[in-house]
Amino acid sequence: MAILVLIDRDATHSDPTKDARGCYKLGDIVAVHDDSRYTDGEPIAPPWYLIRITGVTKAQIERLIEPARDALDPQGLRVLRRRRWRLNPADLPSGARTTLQTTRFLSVTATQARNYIRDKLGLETL
Amino acid sequence: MQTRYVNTASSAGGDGTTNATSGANRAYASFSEWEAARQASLTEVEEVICEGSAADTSSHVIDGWTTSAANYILVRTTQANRHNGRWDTTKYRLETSGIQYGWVYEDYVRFEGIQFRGTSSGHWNKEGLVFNPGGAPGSTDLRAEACIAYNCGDTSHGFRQLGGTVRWINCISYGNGAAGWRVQDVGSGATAYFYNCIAAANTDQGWLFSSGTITARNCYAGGNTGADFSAAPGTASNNHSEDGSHGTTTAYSTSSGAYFTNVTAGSQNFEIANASSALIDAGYDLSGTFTVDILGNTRSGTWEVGPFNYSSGGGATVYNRGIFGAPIFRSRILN
Repeated sequence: MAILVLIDRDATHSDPTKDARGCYKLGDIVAVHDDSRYTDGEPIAPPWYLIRITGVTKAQIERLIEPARDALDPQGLRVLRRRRWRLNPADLPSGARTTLQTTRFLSVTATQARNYIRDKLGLETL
Repeated sequence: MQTRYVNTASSAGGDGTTNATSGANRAYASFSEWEAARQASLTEVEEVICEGSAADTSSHVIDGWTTSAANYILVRTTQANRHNGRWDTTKYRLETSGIQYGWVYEDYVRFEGIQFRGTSSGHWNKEGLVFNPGGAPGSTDLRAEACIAYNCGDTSHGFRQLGGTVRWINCISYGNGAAGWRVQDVGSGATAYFYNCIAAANTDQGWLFSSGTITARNCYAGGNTGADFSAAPGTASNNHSEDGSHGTTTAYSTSSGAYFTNVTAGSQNFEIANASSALIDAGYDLSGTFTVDILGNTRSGTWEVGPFNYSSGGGATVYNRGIFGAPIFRSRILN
């Protein structure tokens, strides 16, 4: 099992390049941890949402914290977005959405999570 | 000043306001969580104190902020949670595996007492720390003090500077897959100051100066596969190298020249072990800029070359500081 750490807000910057490249946006996956890094019932402070995903390891989903890079960059390194993958709470079924927004915690299977983790580049589905 | 905490023993979901590992006010579980939670246009200094014996494997990119000379980011360890002058897996360290996970894009950031390692293979750009500010040298102030880059893999440098003004003080970069340091001006200028640093046992150069304005004093390079210094710094004094590429030729050895404590790969210890070392009392007085060595010991008298102050009587002297920062007793590390 693994824990996704999501941020619940948009950061902004007046420089559009820094805003896109550097600022986290709501639903961005900030970190991925082993399940051992959270114990049920522990208080979760803003700006965090935590999602436990069963049936996967941290190593299997660690790529979810990669940035979105410019495929046209010759070296493939230019960062376009701080995070490529996000899970927008607004996309969740109403029951799950309410649980997440109320408790800041949700436990789902990998199959369930796969449907709602989106590639900002629109190139890949999990 | 606003202070937050990172502790790799903490659980995810804390607000970072204490270094506790449980409770609502627990520390952030990783560096990236601090950075995400706190990125903002700063109105005061943002300090983050990091600790934990488990590696912090998160990205340490710093981007999306607004910083200034008065309102900068300070990333540091306390002396108790800091390395002992060499790679220390019992103390806080950033060990990242992603491409460019160690890139800092902001203009006013300082690191004190942090260990860095880029672990992955199969691609370069796995440097321990890269300063890539948006501003020109005159509008940036970036610093790394008492920092270590170690064993960054697969043709990656330990430290890299792509612009701005950076002061590297009492730092060590060793055992990396490419150069210890690389400095490049990628278009807006790059000014680097190296004071009392060591570049050793790197697979390529010790210092690779591709471009930029370089000042180096009291630095040592040796044991590198490539040239210890790719070129002479524009302003330089009291530097030493094993291969004579710049400065005084001094052996990278435990039994001559530098008289380091240990130069065995994987076990290096760059503390000076013998009063015969050519690095003792061979430095330039930089007390107008800083006054301590990599372990926090006060430098006095004639300075040494390299990050360690040498104390006669054997071993290195470490100050153990009380809660108010004043030394409470002095102990010697006997090797």
